[in-house]
Amino acid sequence: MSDGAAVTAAIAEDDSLRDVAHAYKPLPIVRGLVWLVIGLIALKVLVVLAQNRNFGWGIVGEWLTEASILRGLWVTLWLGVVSMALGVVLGLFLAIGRMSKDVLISSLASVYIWFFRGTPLLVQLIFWYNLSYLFPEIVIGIPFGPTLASWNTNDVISPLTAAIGGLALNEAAYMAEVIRGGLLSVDHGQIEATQAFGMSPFRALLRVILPQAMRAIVPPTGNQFISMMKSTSLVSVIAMADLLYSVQAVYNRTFEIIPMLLVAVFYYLVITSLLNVGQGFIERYYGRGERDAAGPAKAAQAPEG
Amino acid sequence: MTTDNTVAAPASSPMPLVYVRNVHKSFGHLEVLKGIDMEVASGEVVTILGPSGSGKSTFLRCLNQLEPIDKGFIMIDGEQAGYKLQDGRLVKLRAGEVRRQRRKIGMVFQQFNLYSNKTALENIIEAPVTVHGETREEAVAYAMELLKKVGLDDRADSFPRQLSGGQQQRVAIARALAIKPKLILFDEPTSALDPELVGEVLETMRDLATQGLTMIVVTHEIGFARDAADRVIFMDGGVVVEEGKPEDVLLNPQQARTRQFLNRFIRA
Repeated sequence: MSDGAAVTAAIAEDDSLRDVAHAYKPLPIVRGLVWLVIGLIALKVLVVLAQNRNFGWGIVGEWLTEASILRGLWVTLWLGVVSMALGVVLGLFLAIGRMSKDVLISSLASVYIWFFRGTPLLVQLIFWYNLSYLFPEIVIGIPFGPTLASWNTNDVISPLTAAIGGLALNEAAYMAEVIRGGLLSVDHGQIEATQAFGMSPFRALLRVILPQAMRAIVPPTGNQFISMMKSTSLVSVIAMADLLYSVQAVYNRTFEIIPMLLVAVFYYLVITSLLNVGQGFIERYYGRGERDAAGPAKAAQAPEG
Repeated sequence: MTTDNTVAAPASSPMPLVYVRNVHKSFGHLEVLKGIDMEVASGEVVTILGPSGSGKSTFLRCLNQLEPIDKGFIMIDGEQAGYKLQDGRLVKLRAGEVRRQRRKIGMVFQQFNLYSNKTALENIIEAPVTVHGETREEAVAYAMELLKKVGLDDRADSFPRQLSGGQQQRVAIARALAIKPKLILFDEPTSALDPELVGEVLETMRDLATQGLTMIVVTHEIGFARDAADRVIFMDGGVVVEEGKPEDVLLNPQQARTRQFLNRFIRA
């Protein structure tokens, strides 16, 4: 560009050459090499996946839409959703309880979180399933007073209730911390404003604090939800016919272990991918007060006073 | 405390809107307010000046019970803030009764504190609708009127983030007015603003001062105190050092501490 001719050429022409809008980019050599290496590895992986007959892709295809598998998928879906919903609601109460100025309430919430976060979910599930060894009867009544109702524990605790109870109670402990983190992220001035204007704590939480906390709550909750959908596979140990259990039921007969596990993997991936998409939408919704560009430009303001 | 209260009890005689006696407040070992007495008549515009740490913001927050006081008492509109006399005893109010008392008082914060998840209009109608039980229609109509008054009726649907600091503070003023308060407290309303945005907020406040609203303004804006206030109170070290008409306190201060404080501003 800086050869002798350019020096004597019109300055205007030089100026137009120097306009960065028309600049050429150098070839991205390093990046190109990285792409090439990764591309080769990916190709090799695909070839291996296709050539190794032990994957049994044909069998995967056959069982993918089998009725028993779809029933298991359905159980996994609603078990995960119901447990998550219960866990979120209970977690919200625990989070509020933990932030309470009342020592009794905050320590109760802390003890709950300590216990349910501190023991393995699998142990908790087996524990609930076997609750009848501990309490043969479940009784509702006034402590040290009259009994209002009672049930035989074995009638109440089925694989279903043990699964929902175990998953939801465990999830609540984690969600409590997620929600508490979100509530703490809200600027104290916002809370003060609700107080100064005479809003009740409940109303302030619902209308001002929680909506703002949601921005911090949604991403880890998405994580928790994905984790929950996979944790449902643990209920197969208490004879709950979820996706994994249904798959196991098949390969225990046919010994096609890998293809059947791939069926389960496929559906778990579909579920978690859908959750990812949903999370994106929710994040955009709660982020709407935080974007500068969404409204009319700031520059529209005229100087006054 | 009990003796103080019996002095104030015959409230049948016309009482100032704000009547404060011997208010003390400590944060831990640090005593921030050391016996404040103050009276503010209905319709009066009072400006509280003072160096940082003089306790003026804390005092303002005590008035609408964002901070509890340790000693003395505060009467607002004939009611004791946070307490009531019952069968000859002074009893602390329940949370719900405290909220009812706060509904009479509007507040404008240094950091604006607009609800960031709500638009300007939603910010203004929030308390009228959810706390004061107005219908949405009448609240919106009045809110638009107020937005027009502060010159922002075209920004009703903007979120706080999309407004400049000065615009946010004007919306915050409209929000405080929307509850038709008996008293508005301004806690250093221009201190968090860029210098070129201070003017628009002070202009709005000057407008309000001429309209018969009762205002207590904690500020560093000597100009506002001079032009708009009926009375200037100078606080330092947790006590009221001097008070009087703006021209007296600002131009002819009697106390050395007041002179010292004002001199710094004149030099600046």
